[in-house]
Amino acid sequence: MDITSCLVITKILLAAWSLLSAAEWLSNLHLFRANGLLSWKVLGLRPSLISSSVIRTYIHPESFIISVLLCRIVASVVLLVPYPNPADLPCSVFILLSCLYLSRRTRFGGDGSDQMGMVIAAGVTIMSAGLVFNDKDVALSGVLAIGGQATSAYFVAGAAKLASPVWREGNALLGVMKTQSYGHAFAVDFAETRPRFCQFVCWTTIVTEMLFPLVLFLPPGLAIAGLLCFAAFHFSNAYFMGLNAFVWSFLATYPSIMVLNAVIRDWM
Amino acid sequence: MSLVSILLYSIVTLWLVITLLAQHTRFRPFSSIDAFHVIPRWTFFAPNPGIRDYHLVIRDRCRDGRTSGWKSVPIYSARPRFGYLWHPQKRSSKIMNDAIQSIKLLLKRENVGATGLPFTMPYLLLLYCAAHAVPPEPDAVEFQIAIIESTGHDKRRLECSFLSSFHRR
Repeated sequence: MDITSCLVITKILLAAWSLLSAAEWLSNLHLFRANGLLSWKVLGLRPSLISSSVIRTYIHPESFIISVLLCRIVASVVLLVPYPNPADLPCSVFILLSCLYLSRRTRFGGDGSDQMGMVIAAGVTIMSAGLVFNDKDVALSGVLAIGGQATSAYFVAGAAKLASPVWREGNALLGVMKTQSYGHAFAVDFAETRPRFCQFVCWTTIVTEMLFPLVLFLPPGLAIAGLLCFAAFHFSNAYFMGLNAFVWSFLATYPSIMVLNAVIRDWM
Repeated sequence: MSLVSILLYSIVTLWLVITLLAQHTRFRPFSSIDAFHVIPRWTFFAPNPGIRDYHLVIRDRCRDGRTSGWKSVPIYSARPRFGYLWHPQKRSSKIMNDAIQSIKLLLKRENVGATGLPFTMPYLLLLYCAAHAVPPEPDAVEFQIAIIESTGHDKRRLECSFLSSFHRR
């Protein structure tokens, strides 16, 4: 896969994640109101706020949040315009800035898809700049940012699970499925009487996540097959756990992983 | 290779190294200077897989000293049928989970503990939210919040993990 194709696929998936995320925040505006869970009356008391109080009065009310989210939706739609699109660079910069703003404004409630979305936006920004200024190395550093963070994400997630007795004993799957937040009634009914199945799923998750870096070294056909399995993992997490936004942001890293795979195999 | 690309490769490599280091508790100080959360945490559902639901409850103390029953602060809503496509409701429960996890960590910290906790942001956030989400009793003068943890699906087990002091309404 070349860098241009990588950018084309990545920016479409980034746009999809960004649209979904902005629309979901827009339907949660009550959280930002005076009595909401993210009320600025409380979050504004943080001692480490870096901007002056005059600026903060302008950039933290609900109206400003709505403007940011609407602009992000526009930027995401423009990002969907087929390549070559001169607006790719400013749109990805805006999505990146909106990620940083929301992360700072909300502090609580962000998840892994938001973190990966920020990584993708940064990577697409660098890749677009590289292609605009015709500098392949600049574009490749964007690919490295996305592919490197995705590889560490899977490896660290697997290693952290390996360190946990709840995961090693196979109790994590059933425990999570029983919760209101991330659970699923069918999964509980199925898994409750099958402890060996639960243990198998937990260990499969640990081992495959930790082996993810191998995708960078496999022949392209096997690497694609491996990524398809991880995509299936994210679809099942969306269905059973309600982690819908992870699908878009994590799938958006796969083109960069395939480019890194090609670069590494060339070196070897 | 241009100077800009060398600079970008260095920044990206440094970002990756700091990210990997920051996953370990020993290197948590990174998070205190990470104002925009640019250093991601990749330890999803581990080492604690999140096998508990958290519920916030509130009760009032009236002028005559009588306390009302505990009332649940509505945070969770059922996952929509097509939650795998559209699931905005997850934010409220995530905010609640994050704030409660922060409270549990702050309680363990020597420089905060139970005495310092009422001056921390996650505590104030839950206090403020509970006080505004549930209407007070007509003659309420003070209120108290508690965090209830639940496990299980059909037969839920409940456990009170935190009880605040009384605060003025």
